[in-house]
Amino acid sequence: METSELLQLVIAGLKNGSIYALLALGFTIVYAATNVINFAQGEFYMLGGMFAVFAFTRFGLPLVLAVPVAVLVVAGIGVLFERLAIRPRKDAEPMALIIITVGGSLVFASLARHAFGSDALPLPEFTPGPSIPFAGAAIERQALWIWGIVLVTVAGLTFLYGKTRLGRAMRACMQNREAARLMGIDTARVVMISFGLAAALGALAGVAVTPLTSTRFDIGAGIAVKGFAAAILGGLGSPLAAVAGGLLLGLIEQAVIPFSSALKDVVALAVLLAVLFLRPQGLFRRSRREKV
Amino acid sequence: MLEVQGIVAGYGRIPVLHEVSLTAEAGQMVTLVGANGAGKSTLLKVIAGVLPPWSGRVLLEGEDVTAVPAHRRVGRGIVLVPEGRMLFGAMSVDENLSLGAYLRTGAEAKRRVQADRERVFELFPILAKRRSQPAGTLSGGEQQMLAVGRALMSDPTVLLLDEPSLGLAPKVISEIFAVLDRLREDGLTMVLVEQDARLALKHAEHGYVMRTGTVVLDGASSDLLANDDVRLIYLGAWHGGE
Repeated sequence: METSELLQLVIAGLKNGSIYALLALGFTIVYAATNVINFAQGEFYMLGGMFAVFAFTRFGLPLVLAVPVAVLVVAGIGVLFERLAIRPRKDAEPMALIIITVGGSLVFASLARHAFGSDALPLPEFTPGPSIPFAGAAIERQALWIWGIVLVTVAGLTFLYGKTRLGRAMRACMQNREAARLMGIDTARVVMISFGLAAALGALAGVAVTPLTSTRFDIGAGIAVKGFAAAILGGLGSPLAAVAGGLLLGLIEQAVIPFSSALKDVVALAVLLAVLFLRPQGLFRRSRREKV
Repeated sequence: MLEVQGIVAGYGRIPVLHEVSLTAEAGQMVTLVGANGAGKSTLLKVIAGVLPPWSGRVLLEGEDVTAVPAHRRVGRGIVLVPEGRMLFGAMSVDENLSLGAYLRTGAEAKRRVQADRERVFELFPILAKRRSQPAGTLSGGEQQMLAVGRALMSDPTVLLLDEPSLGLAPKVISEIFAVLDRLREDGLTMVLVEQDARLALKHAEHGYVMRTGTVVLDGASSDLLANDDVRLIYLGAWHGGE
């Protein structure tokens, strides 16, 4: 294989991987606050694209407005979902809550079908134009947007967790929710904010990728599996590890393509199972050991 | 002053506490002693708001706080040092202390938080040496000191301590109880739950003896220490203890 071809695969891997990374961040943030895997995370991605298309085509909003509006609306949906579906059962076993999120994902998908129809809906690129040549390969302009969004997201989360009072409360909940309450932290509020933030990140991924792939009511479940695999790869712990997990999954997928492009979608599941069997704490985390 | 009146509470449908009442006067250290499973820790959880009681009331300075959720009770000054310490193991000693002061915001409060942090380091000098170390890497005794220090950072008016001596070496225990004595001299109200009844009664002014979810006896610590039944059942007098 020539270097330019290889480079092209790497670029594609990092592009897809960035989307998985944003999804994985959503899984990780909700898991940190609740120990629940939110399988509705993929629907936030789908809804992000949907609302952006809706705001752009039906309301004629310029993209620069349609995108943030879509992200905010979906963040609101995430908060609402937590209030209506999760909080009333907050003392239930995590498994019961996980089933609720699976149900939620089905509800979101069918509501989206009623509201937006079952056609694939397109969105123009943020900055239309030819791909940018790079060392014999080509980079889509939208890919640059996607990378930019991931960079800004990581910087924002690093600031949130490292420098803000809310971030400190979120980290405290991550480690020990009951102890966090004993510090005076309103853990219910942290859970609600975590759902809103996870939904916003999912929506952001969905909006960023729709110009390349278009969107449809039923794409949530498929992307959720990939985001989940990336999150597990990263160990469901630190946000940076989630991003690394996403990028790595994207690259592994591309590594398989030269052999069989049909296998690409199996990669996420294979990675998921391999990590769960061989290294359940994820690739980047030392196994849990703490003095009692 | 902390008053607990007729608390009935339990887990699921199983009752653990049957109409338990106690009073801790301002600046007093009271202790709950009794065998494992008597309901001592459960009562502390009710006072801290972690476990809602089925009936009964918790009053702080005469004000009913029974309906106040746990995280708001911290702001009212009721602070629990939980059994097993529940530190944030991956965070540094300093960060754990900062989380203790989570509710104290604003410029004026910040100055006082800083003063309280220095006070914690003065009470437990070893914590100052370990301040940038993750809490999970501390020894058991240091972790218990940090748990107490973190609670002090919340600026408590009533400090609830659940088994602070559990699993610690005698030397560390006496170090921690010396600090508790100093806190009491400074006027802090404390409710202490202890397995080691003799130790607890030596340091507290007033003791409540609990058995299967009720208070069977209460009185001045010196009286309880001299009481034959208490000596026999809880202080291990038949082993020829002092």
